[in-house]
Amino acid sequence: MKDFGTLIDRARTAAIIAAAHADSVDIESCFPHESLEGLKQNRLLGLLIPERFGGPGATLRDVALVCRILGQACGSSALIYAMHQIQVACLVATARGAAWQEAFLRRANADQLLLASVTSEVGTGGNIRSSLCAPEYEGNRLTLRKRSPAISYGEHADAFLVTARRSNEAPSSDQILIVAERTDSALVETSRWNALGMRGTDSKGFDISFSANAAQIISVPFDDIAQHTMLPTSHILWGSVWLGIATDATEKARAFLRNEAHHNADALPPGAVRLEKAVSMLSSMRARLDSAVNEYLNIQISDREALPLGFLAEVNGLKIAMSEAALAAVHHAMLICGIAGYKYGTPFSLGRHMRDLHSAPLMVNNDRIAANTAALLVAQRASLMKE
Amino acid sequence: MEDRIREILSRCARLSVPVEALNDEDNLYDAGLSSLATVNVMLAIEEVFSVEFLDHLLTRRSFESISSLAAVIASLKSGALTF
Repeated sequence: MKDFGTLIDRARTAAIIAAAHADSVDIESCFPHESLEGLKQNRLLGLLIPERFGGPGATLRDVALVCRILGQACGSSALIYAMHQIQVACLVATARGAAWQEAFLRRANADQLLLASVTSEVGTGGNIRSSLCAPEYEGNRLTLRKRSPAISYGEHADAFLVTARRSNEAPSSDQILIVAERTDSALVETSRWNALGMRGTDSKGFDISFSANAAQIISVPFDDIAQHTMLPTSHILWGSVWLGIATDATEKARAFLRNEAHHNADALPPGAVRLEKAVSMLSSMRARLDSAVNEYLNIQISDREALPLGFLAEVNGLKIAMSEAALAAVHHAMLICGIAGYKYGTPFSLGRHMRDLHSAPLMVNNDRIAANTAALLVAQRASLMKE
Repeated sequence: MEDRIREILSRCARLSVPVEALNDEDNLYDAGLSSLATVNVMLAIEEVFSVEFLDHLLTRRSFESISSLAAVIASLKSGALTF
Protein backbone atom coordinates (compact mmCIF):
# COMPACT_ATOMS: atom_id res chain seq x y z
CA MET A 1 0.00 0.00 0.00
CA LYS A 2 1.23 3.47 -0.88
CA ASP A 3 2.33 5.51 2.10
CA PHE A 4 -0.15 8.33 2.48
CA GLY A 5 1.63 10.02 5.38
CA THR A 6 0.48 10.15 8.95
CA LEU A 7 -3.18 10.08 9.73
CA ILE A 8 -3.22 13.62 11.08
CA ASP A 9 -1.49 14.98 7.97
CA ARG A 10 -3.99 13.21 5.75
CA ALA A 11 -6.92 14.48 7.81
CA ARG A 12 -5.52 18.03 7.66
CA THR A 13 -5.08 17.82 3.90
CA ALA A 14 -8.72 16.76 3.55
CA ALA A 15 -9.78 19.47 6.02
CA ILE A 16 -8.09 22.22 3.99
CA ILE A 17 -10.16 21.19 0.97
CA ALA A 18 -13.34 21.02 3.08
CA ALA A 19 -12.67 24.46 4.61
CA ALA A 20 -12.21 26.06 1.18
CA HIS A 21 -15.74 25.03 0.20
CA ALA A 22 -17.50 25.24 3.59
CA ASP A 23 -19.18 28.60 2.99
CA SER A 24 -20.42 27.83 -0.51
CA VAL A 25 -21.71 24.41 0.61
CA ASP A 26 -23.59 26.18 3.40
CA ILE A 27 -24.95 29.03 1.28
CA GLU A 28 -26.05 26.84 -1.61
CA SER A 29 -27.16 23.93 0.65
CA CYS A 30 -25.34 21.47 -1.59
CA PHE A 31 -23.46 18.25 -0.96
CA PRO A 32 -19.69 18.84 -0.44
CA HIS A 33 -18.39 16.92 -3.47
CA GLU A 34 -14.89 18.40 -3.14
CA SER A 35 -14.68 17.33 0.54
CA LEU A 36 -15.68 13.78 -0.35
CA GLU A 37 -13.03 13.66 -3.08
CA GLY A 38 -10.46 14.90 -0.56
CA LEU A 39 -11.47 12.20 1.91
CA LYS A 40 -11.19 9.53 -0.78
CA GLN A 41 -7.84 10.77 -2.10
CA ASN A 42 -6.47 10.64 1.42
CA ARG A 43 -7.89 7.14 1.95
CA LEU A 44 -9.89 8.22 5.00
CA LEU A 45 -13.22 6.45 4.30
CA GLY A 46 -12.08 2.90 5.09
CA LEU A 47 -10.05 3.71 8.21
CA LEU A 48 -11.99 1.43 10.57
CA ILE A 49 -11.80 -1.61 8.32
CA PRO A 50 -9.51 -4.19 9.94
CA GLU A 51 -6.36 -5.50 8.27
CA ARG A 52 -7.96 -8.95 7.92
CA PHE A 53 -10.45 -7.36 5.52
CA GLY A 54 -7.74 -5.42 3.69
CA GLY A 55 -8.20 -2.14 5.59
CA PRO A 56 -5.78 -0.07 7.70
CA GLY A 57 -7.41 -1.18 10.99
CA ALA A 58 -7.59 2.22 12.67
CA THR A 59 -9.43 2.53 15.98
CA LEU A 60 -12.46 4.60 16.88
CA ARG A 61 -10.04 6.97 18.63
CA ASP A 62 -8.30 7.68 15.30
CA VAL A 63 -11.60 8.25 13.52
CA ALA A 64 -12.82 10.54 16.33
CA LEU A 65 -9.69 12.63 15.80
CA VAL A 66 -10.36 12.89 12.05
CA CYS A 67 -13.96 13.98 12.82
CA ARG A 68 -12.64 16.70 15.10
CA ILE A 69 -10.17 17.98 12.49
CA LEU A 70 -12.88 18.00 9.81
CA GLY A 71 -15.32 19.67 12.22
CA GLN A 72 -12.93 22.61 12.45
CA ALA A 73 -13.17 22.98 8.66
CA CYS A 74 -16.75 22.22 7.61
CA GLY A 75 -19.51 20.95 9.89
CA SER A 76 -21.47 19.27 7.09
CA SER A 77 -18.43 17.43 5.71
CA ALA A 78 -17.46 16.30 9.20
CA LEU A 79 -20.97 15.05 10.02
CA ILE A 80 -21.20 13.16 6.72
CA TYR A 81 -17.85 11.55 7.49
CA ALA A 82 -19.00 10.65 11.03
CA MET A 83 -22.31 9.16 9.81
CA HIS A 84 -20.42 7.10 7.21
CA GLN A 85 -17.98 5.76 9.82
CA ILE A 86 -20.87 4.74 12.10
CA GLN A 87 -22.14 2.50 9.28
CA VAL A 88 -18.66 1.07 8.75
CA ALA A 89 -18.36 0.37 12.48
CA CYS A 90 -21.68 -1.56 12.47
CA LEU A 91 -20.46 -3.70 9.56
CA VAL A 92 -17.04 -4.33 11.05
CA ALA A 93 -18.56 -5.35 14.39
CA THR A 94 -20.76 -8.00 12.76
CA ALA A 95 -18.89 -9.14 9.63
CA ARG A 96 -16.74 -11.91 11.09
CA GLY A 97 -17.66 -15.20 9.40
CA ALA A 98 -20.17 -13.56 7.04
CA ALA A 99 -18.71 -14.00 3.56
CA TRP A 100 -20.81 -11.33 1.81
CA GLN A 101 -20.06 -8.67 4.44
CA GLU A 102 -16.34 -9.52 4.51
CA ALA A 103 -16.10 -9.17 0.74
CA PHE A 104 -18.10 -5.95 0.87
CA LEU A 105 -15.76 -4.44 3.46
CA ARG A 106 -12.75 -5.28 1.27
CA ARG A 107 -14.43 -3.48 -1.60
CA ALA A 108 -15.51 -0.58 0.65
CA ASN A 109 -11.87 0.11 1.49
CA ALA A 110 -10.44 -0.56 -1.97
CA ASP A 111 -13.00 1.66 -3.72
CA GLN A 112 -13.48 4.10 -0.79
CA LEU A 113 -17.25 3.56 -0.80
CA LEU A 114 -19.53 6.03 1.00
CA LEU A 115 -22.17 4.35 3.21
CA ALA A 116 -25.42 5.97 4.31
CA SER A 117 -27.96 5.05 6.97
CA VAL A 118 -31.65 4.43 6.34
CA THR A 119 -33.02 4.04 9.86
CA SER A 120 -35.76 6.65 10.04
CA GLU A 121 -39.16 5.73 8.62
CA VAL A 122 -42.40 7.58 8.06
CA GLY A 123 -44.90 6.50 10.73
CA THR A 124 -42.55 5.42 13.53
CA GLY A 125 -42.55 8.75 15.35
CA GLY A 126 -38.79 9.20 15.11
CA ASN A 127 -38.06 5.99 17.02
CA ILE A 128 -35.36 4.18 15.05
CA ARG A 129 -35.79 1.07 17.20
CA SER A 130 -39.06 0.37 15.49
CA SER A 131 -39.75 -0.51 11.82
CA LEU A 132 -42.90 -0.86 9.74
CA CYS A 133 -41.50 -2.07 6.41
CA ALA A 134 -40.62 -5.76 5.97
CA PRO A 135 -38.84 -7.53 3.11
CA GLU A 136 -40.65 -9.72 0.59
CA TYR A 137 -38.68 -12.94 0.18
CA GLU A 138 -38.46 -14.99 -2.99
CA GLY A 139 -35.97 -17.85 -2.88
CA ASN A 140 -32.72 -16.35 -1.61
CA ARG A 141 -33.59 -12.84 -2.89
CA LEU A 142 -35.46 -10.14 -1.08
CA THR A 143 -37.00 -6.83 -2.03
CA LEU A 144 -37.82 -3.95 0.30
CA ARG A 145 -39.54 -0.62 -0.04
CA LYS A 146 -39.11 1.93 2.73
CA ARG A 147 -40.42 5.47 3.10
CA SER A 148 -37.74 7.48 4.88
CA PRO A 149 -38.31 11.11 5.94
CA ALA A 150 -34.55 11.78 5.71
CA ILE A 151 -31.60 9.95 4.22
CA SER A 152 -28.50 12.06 4.72
CA TYR A 153 -26.44 12.29 1.48
CA GLY A 154 -28.76 9.59 0.09
CA GLU A 155 -28.18 10.65 -3.50
CA HIS A 156 -24.42 10.49 -3.09
CA ALA A 157 -23.93 7.20 -1.21
CA ASP A 158 -22.61 3.97 -2.74
CA ALA A 159 -24.51 1.72 -0.33
CA PHE A 160 -27.14 1.92 2.42
CA LEU A 161 -27.61 0.18 5.75
CA VAL A 162 -31.39 -0.18 6.01
CA THR A 163 -33.45 -1.28 9.01
CA ALA A 164 -36.63 -3.31 8.54
CA ARG A 165 -38.88 -5.74 10.38
CA ARG A 166 -37.59 -9.28 10.06
CA SER A 167 -40.77 -10.38 8.22
CA ASN A 168 -44.38 -9.41 7.74
CA GLU A 169 -45.30 -11.42 10.86
CA ALA A 170 -42.56 -9.93 13.08
CA PRO A 171 -43.27 -7.25 15.71
CA SER A 172 -42.05 -3.72 14.92
CA SER A 173 -39.18 -4.07 17.40
CA ASP A 174 -37.80 -7.27 15.80
CA GLN A 175 -35.51 -5.45 13.38
CA ILE A 176 -32.84 -6.54 10.95
CA LEU A 177 -30.17 -4.49 9.19
CA ILE A 178 -29.67 -5.02 5.45
CA VAL A 179 -26.81 -3.77 3.27
CA ALA A 180 -28.29 -2.40 0.04
CA GLU A 181 -26.12 -1.47 -2.91
CA ARG A 182 -26.80 1.73 -4.78
CA THR A 183 -26.78 -0.18 -8.09
CA ASP A 184 -29.66 -2.36 -6.80
CA SER A 185 -31.63 0.59 -5.38
CA ALA A 186 -34.08 3.16 -6.68
CA LEU A 187 -34.64 6.43 -4.82
CA VAL A 188 -37.63 8.67 -5.34
CA GLU A 189 -37.30 12.07 -3.69
CA THR A 190 -40.21 12.96 -1.38
CA SER A 191 -38.91 16.09 0.39
CA ARG A 192 -36.26 18.77 -0.03
CA TRP A 193 -33.45 19.61 2.40
CA ASN A 194 -33.44 23.32 3.16
CA ALA A 195 -32.49 23.52 6.84
CA LEU A 196 -31.12 25.93 9.42
CA GLY A 197 -27.71 24.23 9.51
CA MET A 198 -25.76 21.17 8.40
CA ARG A 199 -27.01 22.22 4.98
CA GLY A 200 -24.42 20.20 3.07
CA THR A 201 -25.62 16.87 4.47
CA ASP A 202 -28.36 16.99 1.80
CA SER A 203 -30.76 14.99 4.00
CA LYS A 204 -33.71 14.71 1.64
CA GLY A 205 -36.69 12.40 2.15
CA PHE A 206 -36.85 9.40 -0.14
CA ASP A 207 -38.88 6.33 -0.99
CA ILE A 208 -36.15 3.74 -1.35
CA SER A 209 -36.71 0.39 -3.06
CA PHE A 210 -34.05 -2.24 -3.52
CA SER A 211 -33.42 -5.90 -4.11
CA ALA A 212 -30.72 -7.86 -2.32
CA ASN A 213 -29.40 -11.32 -1.68
CA ALA A 214 -30.53 -12.79 1.65
CA ALA A 215 -26.82 -12.91 2.58
CA GLN A 216 -26.88 -9.10 2.69
CA ILE A 217 -28.95 -9.27 5.90
CA ILE A 218 -26.61 -8.84 8.86
CA SER A 219 -27.05 -11.93 11.04
CA VAL A 220 -26.84 -10.03 14.36
CA PRO A 221 -30.25 -8.54 15.38
CA PHE A 222 -30.43 -4.75 15.03
CA ASP A 223 -31.28 -4.31 18.73
CA ASP A 224 -27.86 -5.79 19.53
CA ILE A 225 -26.02 -3.74 16.86
CA ALA A 226 -27.78 -0.57 18.02
CA GLN A 227 -26.81 -0.84 21.65
CA HIS A 228 -23.32 -2.28 21.24
CA THR A 229 -22.09 -0.33 18.23
CA MET A 230 -24.41 2.18 16.57
CA LEU A 231 -25.41 4.16 19.65
CA PRO A 232 -21.95 4.46 21.26
CA THR A 233 -20.11 5.20 17.99
CA SER A 234 -22.77 7.75 16.98
CA HIS A 235 -22.52 9.66 20.21
CA ILE A 236 -18.72 9.55 20.23
CA LEU A 237 -18.27 10.62 16.59
CA TRP A 238 -21.02 13.25 16.60
CA GLY A 239 -19.48 14.65 19.78
CA SER A 240 -16.11 14.80 18.02
CA VAL A 241 -17.62 16.76 15.13
CA TRP A 242 -19.27 19.22 17.54
CA LEU A 243 -16.02 19.65 19.46
CA GLY A 244 -14.31 20.48 16.15
CA ILE A 245 -16.90 23.13 15.27
CA ALA A 246 -16.75 24.66 18.76
CA THR A 247 -12.93 24.66 18.61
CA ASP A 248 -12.91 26.58 15.32
CA ALA A 249 -15.38 29.13 16.71
CA THR A 250 -13.23 29.60 19.81
CA GLU A 251 -10.11 30.00 17.65
CA LYS A 252 -11.89 32.78 15.78
CA ALA A 253 -12.77 34.48 19.07
CA ARG A 254 -9.14 34.25 20.16
CA ALA A 255 -7.95 35.70 16.85
CA PHE A 256 -10.45 38.52 17.26
CA LEU A 257 -9.12 39.34 20.75
CA ARG A 258 -5.51 39.16 19.57
CA ASN A 259 -6.36 41.57 16.80
CA GLU A 260 -7.96 43.95 19.28
CA ALA A 261 -4.98 43.65 21.62
CA HIS A 262 -2.65 44.72 18.84
CA HIS A 263 -4.63 47.91 18.44
CA ASN A 264 -5.12 48.60 22.12
CA ALA A 265 -3.15 46.40 24.50
CA ASP A 266 -4.38 48.27 27.61
CA ALA A 267 -8.03 47.40 27.37
CA LEU A 268 -9.35 44.16 25.87
CA PRO A 269 -13.04 44.23 24.88
CA PRO A 270 -15.45 43.35 27.70
CA GLY A 271 -16.18 39.95 26.18
CA ALA A 272 -12.56 38.86 26.65
CA VAL A 273 -13.23 37.10 29.96
CA ARG A 274 -15.43 34.68 28.05
CA LEU A 275 -12.41 33.25 26.24
CA GLU A 276 -11.43 31.43 29.41
CA LYS A 277 -14.93 29.97 29.70
CA ALA A 278 -15.04 28.83 26.08
CA VAL A 279 -11.56 27.24 26.23
CA SER A 280 -12.42 25.54 29.49
CA MET A 281 -15.53 24.07 27.88
CA LEU A 282 -13.46 22.68 25.01
CA SER A 283 -11.16 21.13 27.56
CA SER A 284 -14.04 19.44 29.43
CA MET A 285 -15.51 18.20 26.16
CA ARG A 286 -12.18 16.70 25.12
CA ALA A 287 -11.72 14.94 28.46
CA ARG A 288 -15.21 13.49 28.47
CA LEU A 289 -14.85 12.31 24.90
CA ASP A 290 -11.50 10.64 25.62
CA SER A 291 -12.99 8.87 28.63
CA ALA A 292 -15.93 7.53 26.59
CA VAL A 293 -13.64 6.36 23.77
CA ASN A 294 -11.43 4.51 26.26
CA GLU A 295 -14.45 2.85 27.86
CA TYR A 296 -15.80 1.85 24.43
CA LEU A 297 -12.49 0.31 23.34
CA ASN A 298 -12.29 -1.65 26.61
CA ILE A 299 -15.88 -2.87 26.61
CA GLN A 300 -15.40 -4.45 23.17
CA ILE A 301 -13.68 -7.45 24.64
CA SER A 302 -16.08 -7.98 27.54
CA ASP A 303 -19.19 -10.16 27.71
CA ARG A 304 -21.63 -9.17 24.97
CA GLU A 305 -24.41 -10.90 26.94
CA ALA A 306 -24.21 -8.33 29.71
CA LEU A 307 -26.62 -5.40 29.41
CA PRO A 308 -24.18 -2.45 29.40
CA LEU A 309 -26.53 -0.17 31.32
CA GLY A 310 -23.82 1.99 32.87
CA PHE A 311 -21.96 2.43 29.59
CA LEU A 312 -25.12 3.29 27.66
CA ALA A 313 -25.99 5.86 30.30
CA GLU A 314 -22.45 7.24 29.98
CA VAL A 315 -22.52 7.64 26.18
CA ASN A 316 -26.05 9.07 26.33
CA GLY A 317 -24.88 11.61 28.88
CA LEU A 318 -21.90 12.32 26.63
CA LYS A 319 -24.18 13.17 23.69
CA ILE A 320 -26.32 15.55 25.74
CA ALA A 321 -23.35 17.21 27.39
CA MET A 322 -21.35 17.61 24.15
CA SER A 323 -24.27 19.09 22.24
CA GLU A 324 -25.00 21.60 24.99
CA ALA A 325 -21.37 22.55 25.67
CA ALA A 326 -20.54 23.04 21.98
CA LEU A 327 -23.43 25.47 21.55
CA ALA A 328 -22.51 27.28 24.76
CA ALA A 329 -18.88 27.66 23.61
CA VAL A 330 -19.97 29.18 20.28
CA HIS A 331 -22.29 31.50 22.17
CA HIS A 332 -19.31 32.74 24.19
CA ALA A 333 -17.32 33.15 20.98
CA MET A 334 -20.16 35.19 19.46
CA LEU A 335 -20.27 37.53 22.46
CA ILE A 336 -16.49 37.96 22.24
CA CYS A 337 -16.52 38.81 18.52
CA GLY A 338 -19.72 40.87 18.71
CA ILE A 339 -20.99 42.23 15.42
CA ALA A 340 -17.94 40.83 13.57
CA GLY A 341 -19.09 37.37 14.55
CA TYR A 342 -22.73 38.05 13.84
CA LYS A 343 -22.10 39.31 10.30
CA TYR A 344 -21.34 37.05 7.38
CA GLY A 345 -18.20 37.67 5.35
CA THR A 346 -15.80 38.73 8.12
CA PRO A 347 -12.80 36.63 9.27
CA PHE A 348 -14.74 36.11 12.52
CA SER A 349 -18.17 35.09 11.15
CA LEU A 350 -19.81 32.50 13.40
CA GLY A 351 -23.27 32.16 11.86
CA ARG A 352 -22.53 28.84 10.16
CA HIS A 353 -20.98 27.36 13.31
CA MET A 354 -23.96 28.35 15.41
CA ARG A 355 -26.54 27.13 12.90
CA ASP A 356 -24.71 23.83 12.35
CA LEU A 357 -24.53 23.20 16.10
CA HIS A 358 -28.24 23.80 16.60
CA SER A 359 -28.71 20.39 14.97
CA ALA A 360 -26.83 18.73 17.83
CA PRO A 361 -29.51 18.69 20.56
CA LEU A 362 -32.15 17.43 18.13
CA MET A 363 -30.45 14.78 16.05
CA VAL A 364 -32.02 12.19 18.32
CA ASN A 365 -33.74 14.64 20.60
CA ASN A 366 -31.89 15.32 23.86
CA ASP A 367 -35.15 15.10 25.82
CA ARG A 368 -35.83 11.60 24.47
CA ILE A 369 -32.27 10.55 25.31
CA ALA A 370 -32.48 12.06 28.80
CA ALA A 371 -35.69 10.14 29.58
CA ASN A 372 -34.11 6.85 28.42
CA THR A 373 -30.95 7.59 30.36
CA ALA A 374 -32.83 8.26 33.58
CA ALA A 375 -34.39 4.78 33.27
CA LEU A 376 -30.97 3.23 32.63
CA LEU A 377 -29.46 4.98 35.63
CA VAL A 378 -32.29 3.88 37.93
CA ALA A 379 -31.86 0.28 36.75
CA GLN A 380 -28.06 0.28 36.90
CA ARG A 381 -26.68 -1.54 39.94
CA ALA A 382 -22.99 -0.67 39.75
CA SER A 383 -21.74 2.25 41.83
CA LEU A 384 -21.98 5.68 40.21
CA MET A 385 -18.46 6.34 41.45
CA LYS A 386 -16.40 4.55 38.84
CA GLU A 387 -13.36 2.85 40.31
CA MET B 1 -44.68 -17.23 39.80
CA GLU B 2 -44.89 -17.60 36.00
CA ASP B 3 -48.39 -16.06 36.01
CA ARG B 4 -47.15 -12.97 37.80
CA ILE B 5 -44.23 -12.72 35.35
CA ARG B 6 -46.73 -12.94 32.50
CA GLU B 7 -48.75 -10.14 34.07
CA ILE B 8 -45.60 -7.98 34.28
CA LEU B 9 -44.66 -8.75 30.68
CA SER B 10 -48.08 -7.81 29.36
CA ARG B 11 -47.90 -4.56 31.34
CA CYS B 12 -44.26 -3.48 30.73
CA ALA B 13 -42.53 -5.45 27.98
CA ARG B 14 -44.27 -3.87 24.99
CA LEU B 15 -44.17 -7.18 23.11
CA SER B 16 -46.00 -7.23 19.84
CA VAL B 17 -47.11 -10.81 20.47
CA PRO B 18 -49.81 -11.41 23.14
CA VAL B 19 -48.16 -12.90 26.22
CA GLU B 20 -50.78 -15.69 26.25
CA ALA B 21 -49.38 -16.88 22.91
CA LEU B 22 -45.94 -17.49 24.45
CA ASN B 23 -44.65 -20.66 26.07
CA ASP B 24 -42.47 -20.37 29.16
CA GLU B 25 -39.42 -21.31 27.07
CA ASP B 26 -40.08 -18.96 24.13
CA ASN B 27 -37.43 -16.32 23.45
CA LEU B 28 -38.70 -12.92 24.56
CA TYR B 29 -36.25 -11.00 22.36
CA ASP B 30 -37.71 -12.81 19.34
CA ALA B 31 -41.13 -11.73 20.61
CA GLY B 32 -40.00 -8.12 20.43
CA LEU B 33 -38.45 -7.38 23.83
CA SER B 34 -36.11 -4.39 23.42
CA SER B 35 -33.24 -3.47 25.72
CA LEU B 36 -35.11 -0.42 26.99
CA ALA B 37 -38.24 -2.42 27.77
CA THR B 38 -35.96 -4.87 29.63
CA VAL B 39 -35.25 -2.10 32.13
CA ASN B 40 -38.98 -1.61 32.77
CA VAL B 41 -39.51 -5.35 33.18
CA MET B 42 -36.67 -5.51 35.67
CA LEU B 43 -38.02 -2.66 37.79
CA ALA B 44 -41.52 -4.21 37.82
CA ILE B 45 -40.11 -7.59 38.90
CA GLU B 46 -38.25 -5.92 41.76
CA GLU B 47 -41.47 -4.28 42.92
CA VAL B 48 -43.76 -7.30 42.56
CA PHE B 49 -41.38 -9.91 44.02
CA SER B 50 -39.61 -7.64 46.56
CA VAL B 51 -36.19 -8.54 45.23
CA GLU B 52 -33.23 -6.49 44.07
CA PHE B 53 -31.37 -7.49 40.91
CA LEU B 54 -27.64 -7.94 41.30
CA ASP B 55 -25.30 -6.44 38.71
CA HIS B 56 -24.12 -9.81 37.37
CA LEU B 57 -27.71 -10.87 36.66
CA LEU B 58 -28.34 -7.92 34.34
CA THR B 59 -27.70 -9.95 31.20
CA ARG B 60 -29.67 -10.84 28.10
CA ARG B 61 -29.70 -14.42 29.36
CA SER B 62 -31.72 -13.47 32.48
CA PHE B 63 -34.46 -11.88 30.37
CA GLU B 64 -34.48 -14.45 27.60
CA SER B 65 -37.70 -16.28 28.54
CA ILE B 66 -40.38 -16.55 31.20
CA SER B 67 -38.62 -19.57 32.68
CA SER B 68 -35.20 -17.84 32.78
CA LEU B 69 -36.83 -14.93 34.62
CA ALA B 70 -38.48 -17.35 37.06
CA ALA B 71 -35.08 -18.97 37.73
CA VAL B 72 -33.44 -15.58 38.34
CA ILE B 73 -36.22 -14.48 40.70
CA ALA B 74 -36.02 -17.79 42.59
CA SER B 75 -32.26 -17.39 43.01
CA LEU B 76 -32.64 -13.79 44.17
CA LYS B 77 -35.31 -14.83 46.70
CA SER B 78 -33.24 -17.66 48.11
CA GLY B 79 -30.20 -15.38 48.18
CA ALA B 80 -32.18 -12.78 50.12
CA LEU B 81 -32.85 -15.33 52.88
CA THR B 82 -29.18 -16.03 53.42
CA PHE B 83 -28.28 -12.37 54.04
